[in-house]
Amino acid sequence: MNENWRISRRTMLRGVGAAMALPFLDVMEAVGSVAPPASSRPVRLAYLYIPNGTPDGSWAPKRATRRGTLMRLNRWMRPLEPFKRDIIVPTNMWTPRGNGHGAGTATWLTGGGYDSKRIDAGGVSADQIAARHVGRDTLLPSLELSVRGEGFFSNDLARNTISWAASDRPASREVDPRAVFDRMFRRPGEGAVDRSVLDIVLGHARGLRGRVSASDRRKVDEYLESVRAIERRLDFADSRSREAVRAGELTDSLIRPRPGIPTDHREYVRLMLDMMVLAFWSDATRVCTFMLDHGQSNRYFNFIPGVRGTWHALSHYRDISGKTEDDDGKTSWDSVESKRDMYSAVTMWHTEQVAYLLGRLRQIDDGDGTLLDNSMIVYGSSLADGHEHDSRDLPLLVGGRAGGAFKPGRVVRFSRPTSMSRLHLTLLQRAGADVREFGGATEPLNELGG
Amino acid sequence: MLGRYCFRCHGAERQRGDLDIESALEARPLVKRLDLWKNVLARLRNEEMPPRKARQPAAAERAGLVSWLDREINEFDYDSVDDPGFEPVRRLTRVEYANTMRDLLGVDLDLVARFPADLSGTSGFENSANTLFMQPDLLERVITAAEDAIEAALPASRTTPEDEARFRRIFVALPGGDTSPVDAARAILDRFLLRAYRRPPTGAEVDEVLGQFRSALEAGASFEDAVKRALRVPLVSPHFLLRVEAACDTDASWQIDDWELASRLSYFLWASMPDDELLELARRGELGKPDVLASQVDRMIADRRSSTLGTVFAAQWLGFDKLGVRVRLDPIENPWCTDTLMDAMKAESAMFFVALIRDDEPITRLVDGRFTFLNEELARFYRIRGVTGEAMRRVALTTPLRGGVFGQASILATTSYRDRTSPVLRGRWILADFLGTPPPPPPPDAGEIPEEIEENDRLTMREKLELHRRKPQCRSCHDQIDPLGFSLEHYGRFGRWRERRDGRRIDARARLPDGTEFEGLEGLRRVILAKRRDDLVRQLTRKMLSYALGRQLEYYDEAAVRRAVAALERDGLRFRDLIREIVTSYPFRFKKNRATQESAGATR
Repeated sequence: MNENWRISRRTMLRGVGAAMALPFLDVMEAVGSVAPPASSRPVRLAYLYIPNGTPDGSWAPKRATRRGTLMRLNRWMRPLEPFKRDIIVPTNMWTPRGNGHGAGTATWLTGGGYDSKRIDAGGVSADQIAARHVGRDTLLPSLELSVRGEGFFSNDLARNTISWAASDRPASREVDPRAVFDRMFRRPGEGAVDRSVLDIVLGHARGLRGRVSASDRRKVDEYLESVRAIERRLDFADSRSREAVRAGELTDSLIRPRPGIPTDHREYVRLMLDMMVLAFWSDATRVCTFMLDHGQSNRYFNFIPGVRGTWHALSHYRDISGKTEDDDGKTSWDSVESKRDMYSAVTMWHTEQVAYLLGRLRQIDDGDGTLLDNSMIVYGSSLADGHEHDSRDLPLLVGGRAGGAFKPGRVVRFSRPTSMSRLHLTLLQRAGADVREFGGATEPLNELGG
Repeated sequence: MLGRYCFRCHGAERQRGDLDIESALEARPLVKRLDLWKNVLARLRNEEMPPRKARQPAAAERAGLVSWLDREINEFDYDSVDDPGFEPVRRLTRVEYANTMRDLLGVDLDLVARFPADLSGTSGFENSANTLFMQPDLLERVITAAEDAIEAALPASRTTPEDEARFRRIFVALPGGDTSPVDAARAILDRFLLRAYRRPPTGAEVDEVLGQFRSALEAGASFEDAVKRALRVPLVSPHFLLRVEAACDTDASWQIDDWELASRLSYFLWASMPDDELLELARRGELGKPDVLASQVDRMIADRRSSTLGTVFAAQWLGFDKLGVRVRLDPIENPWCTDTLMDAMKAESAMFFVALIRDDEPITRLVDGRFTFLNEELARFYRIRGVTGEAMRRVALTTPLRGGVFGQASILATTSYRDRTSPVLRGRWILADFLGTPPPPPPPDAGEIPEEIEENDRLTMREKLELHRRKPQCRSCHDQIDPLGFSLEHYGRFGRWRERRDGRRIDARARLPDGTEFEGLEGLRRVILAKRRDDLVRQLTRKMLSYALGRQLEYYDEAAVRRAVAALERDGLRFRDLIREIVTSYPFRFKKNRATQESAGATR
């Protein structure tokens, strides 16, 4: 990592942060103009998940050439129009071993099957494997974000977990924007952490490990890993404070989000996306997942003009009676078409958020290109058509150029159902992870390279 | 024979409907996979399987197979299994952590507000070891919380008598006279570690923490501050955050020691640490004696800390913990739907449950109890007169419209949809959650994924109803589910009484598949107690044992369940007996190592 580059960006930020008491967004505007570093830039990997699928046909680009060049997107993909040279839309992808709201969510990134009784997603998720390989050089090996759930299933494990540190252990997830910020820019535990205390309790855990049964050892290992993760952040914080001697108070001048969850869902999602941009920009991590909602979200999107009813109810758009068991009883629809349009509008709102993320990343210089060029941003769902509960031809896009390895601006059509595991394998290799196999797949999708 | 007709679709090669009979057949006894075999047996018996287009067994073959399976799973001799199971190492839940900090330090702070939520899996209880993970962000918050709690419990200047009392409780020795600062600190830490680790600390453990005290003292800290610095170690230690029981290198089962018993008791009955009396009895090795144990159970139930049996156990069993958190209405559109009202609804159900235990009532009072707990706001909601003020108090019920859990707002609300009631949800709640007899999964040709059905508790109703509408074979189950819910139609989405729904008079009459007719809440109570009493007793026993053990029950726990149920039957189904049976049960007092390949997951 180029030290000078770091300092120049931070110093720059400090100036901006001090001058403006503005939402974080405006700081990001300024970030884009910071001089890029000389060294080659690492590739960042992000997975953004949405539940409930998309209506059949709404994820098909309107016009593409025979060779796949994207010419025009359809009306529901319109937010991506300015990014059509930055994205790849793969078709005919699926997760052969698990699908639906629960199992499909839990295994979206593992390529395995889900065992709900034992709580096992059939494998470590792709992002966590990436974190193991490329996370050593960054403050945080990875970042797992999620919006706070609403409605039934908000604390159901399967529907709330796409990142698995082990096949039977979810990675921790963060729903509070301020906590995400603090993990990146503040000392662990607000200065309450004392290394000598950590040393002692680490010793306790090691001693315990030798005394408990084999099956219990894993629980103790979780504890050990947690202590080490905190120590690692302390190391980073300490090296930063040495920098701070030269560059002044750095991180405190960044605008820290207010505590708590914003009540406006739009503001909330944007803030979380800003945290992701900030993480990639500051190189706090190179791997990030974000669940835009839990796997069977019944959230209201009444802030979208013309949309009534809850998301999961909308996804079953062929039934317009308003009397199915998860309709709310006060909403009914005139026609299947209008209900499907509302369902699509909810998806489109999320697509708009992804477009926002792509836009932010594209504004920031990063080496020879933009931060987006050096990224792989995956966005998709574990269901295709929500009413049919289709598991084939999942809605999916891959944004960014993977540092030049991908050739975006295309729809990549696969003639037969192709496992997401092959996509994950490709992304892992492009992220710099030395893996030959993922979820049973051994052949990467060379098609993404054009 | 299973091989001939079933393995082609449900074998090791291919698992239609995610069902692998071939591997399941290897797991003996078959009751290990009881649900799977019950399903297979029902399909065979009803001639739903093998599917019509496949090769069919002769009638005699089918009958032979059915009777063999029936014997294997329904007449299995559970007493022949000698296995108390294994309580794995588990981290304290959020609630347990908060309560333990409160009892250890004497201050009740909202320490866990910013802790990540504990997610729940299939056991339904947040204390289930396999869903309690230890993660960096949680540990970090624990570290911060330790610092905050020490400061709050032991402020530099003690201004109130409470401050002084807390100080005395932790600072059990002070330097002066013959006592050196190190000696005093050693006495303090020795005592504190005993309480924090729920067992006597080793000399080395005390010395290590004493090192923290010494270096703080050498760096110029006062005696008090140096002790406070040292206290941070135990509050972050795995000995504190994890509940660890001693390992034993043997194939046989062994009895847990009294320290471990003290923790099992306190986390079961209080969701918190053992108090001084329990620790003292453990030290003397007396806690396990039957008369001592019995009187401790009585003492613990009488203690206010046992309220967690209502706020945690009953709330998670019956599902009313979701109220206000995930089940709520927009308070602006619905000004009556306040946080305080929903808190009162939850408190009503929790306090009712705990009162039944404290008064040693029969378990059947859950259904037909004639009292409840109300405050003014909730009483007004129920249109019951004469209750004033915010405090919840016990109220004898004169109205027939309330009484028992079925008439409680918290239950009626959590079994409704956001804006309307659902007889299906309420019926299913009664069958599945309250009685432990969930309707069977949809027939195999329903075309749904069993995983989804298995893990869903609520929203699959949508799919089930859709099927219901389309397919006549769904009727048989809905004929069981729906009438139970219909009888509660007089209760609105939050349990408010109503005469009409959508302008039409409500018809709360219902008819069970066997022809029994009943009406309204009173009818439902009568039907449940007459026909389903045994299911209720069994379900409560299973749920409470599962909660007490912090794990899902397995087939080998069945003997303990049956023994407890039999004991309850002998003496009027008393709540107190249930708890006594659980704390003296084989799985509660003993443990046994898992065979290694089993813990690696032979169930797949």
